[in-house]
Amino acid sequence: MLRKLFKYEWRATSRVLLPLYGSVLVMAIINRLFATINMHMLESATAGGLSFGLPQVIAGFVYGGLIIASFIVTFVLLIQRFYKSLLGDEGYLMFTLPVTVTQHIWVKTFVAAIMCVLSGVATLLSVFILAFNGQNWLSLLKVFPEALQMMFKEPHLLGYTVEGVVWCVAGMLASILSVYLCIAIGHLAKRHRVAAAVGAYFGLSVVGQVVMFLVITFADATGFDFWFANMAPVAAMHAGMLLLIVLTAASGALFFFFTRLILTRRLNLE
Amino acid sequence: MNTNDLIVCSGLTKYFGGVKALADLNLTIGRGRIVGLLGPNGSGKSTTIKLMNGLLTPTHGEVRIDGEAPGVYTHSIVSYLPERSYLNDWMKASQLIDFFADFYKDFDKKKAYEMLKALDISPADRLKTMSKGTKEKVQLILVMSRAAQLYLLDEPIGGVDPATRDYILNTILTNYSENATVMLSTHLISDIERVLDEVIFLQKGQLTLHETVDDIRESRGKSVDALFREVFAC
Repeated sequence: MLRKLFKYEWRATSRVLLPLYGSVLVMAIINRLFATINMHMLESATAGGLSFGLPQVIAGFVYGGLIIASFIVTFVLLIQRFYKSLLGDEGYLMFTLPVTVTQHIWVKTFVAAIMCVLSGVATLLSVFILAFNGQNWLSLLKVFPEALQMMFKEPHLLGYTVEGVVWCVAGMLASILSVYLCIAIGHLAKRHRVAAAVGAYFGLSVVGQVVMFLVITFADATGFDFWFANMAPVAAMHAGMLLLIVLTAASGALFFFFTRLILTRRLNLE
Repeated sequence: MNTNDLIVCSGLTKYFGGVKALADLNLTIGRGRIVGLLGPNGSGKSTTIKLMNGLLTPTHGEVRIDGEAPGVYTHSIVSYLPERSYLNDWMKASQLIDFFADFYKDFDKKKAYEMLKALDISPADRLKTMSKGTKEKVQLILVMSRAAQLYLLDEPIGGVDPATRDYILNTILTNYSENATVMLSTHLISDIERVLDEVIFLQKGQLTLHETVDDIRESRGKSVDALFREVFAC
């Protein structure tokens, strides 16, 4: 069931987002072409060579606009996929499928996470297309084996990298789940559900800050930070990273738990 | 589970804020019955059906389908037709058939395609290009192509022309298995009276009548439609 749900969620989301990311890459190529042609024309012609000037400027604007659009549309669509698909009219279809609420939430979270990563990758790739010539590509390709060599010499570096990646992934999933929780909290309201969701978002941020404050105060009061300070720097770094990962994962788990609770015990599709 | 009673509502109550949509509904429906859930607008018909599907959380009381609270099991044995358009507009009829076949083991693709053909609907058409009536027909085809134990149809004939109404009623009569129960809510009683075994009258969230159609005709000497007009006279 999970795979089938994923298939449909992916199809519904990618049909909008993949063409958008593709167009970012296409615009980067077009811009690169204009820039290259313009350069050659400037070199060969006398004065002038402005024949591609205006189209290049326009192409530049379109490219910039598309990058911004790709991030905004990704963000908006992922909210919409949760809000409309589960809590709008389509919810009548989704919540009567023989599928658990847990599966619904996970599938939406994973597709959202993959799309966020893809939007970043598309932007990065487009920048490389635009800015890099042959030499840059070669030096970029050299960076990877050099970095890997360094990591094998200093295994802790590999450790930090892995921990960093895990933390980023956990952070991304937790952020997505926090947005879903806000939408679910909004659903609890009788009217003005969107406003309630936005309010929940601010409320959740405040709660997050208070919790951070309490954690730091606790660390201070119990001398937890001295334990940290007395560790070897490498161990402290690892411990710190692991603590971050655990806290992020715990907050993600809480968001998931409460979202699921609301959608199973307090569902009211109207 | 295979209890004899397919639907059991015990003290089922639903408030929307201060508005009482359903009050203390106690109801038992057996298998192999075609039941009409009748009442004027706002009487609680849709609320009752949505509660049975787990789309609403009861304020008090409970509903059990084949002995279980609404969940994954009941969703697998209940085929539900809401009164609204609830399918992805961008999908083609054939994609929707694949979707239903993917999630419901009891879905019969062949039957679905046959019904599409009978109603002159092309499987390659996207839902958004169809008229409202055609969309409703597609939704009905998807629901009736399942070999479910319970069909919950919310206003299935409301928005369609009389010829299609007849087709829908014939489909309901001929397509469900002997042990399956069909519950349909409507206020167009004279059209559906001929297919019903039992009727339930709902008025302002309260159950006011639950009898077989035969009993009503014999003991009261009138049709269900006439009785409805009498009971719900304005």
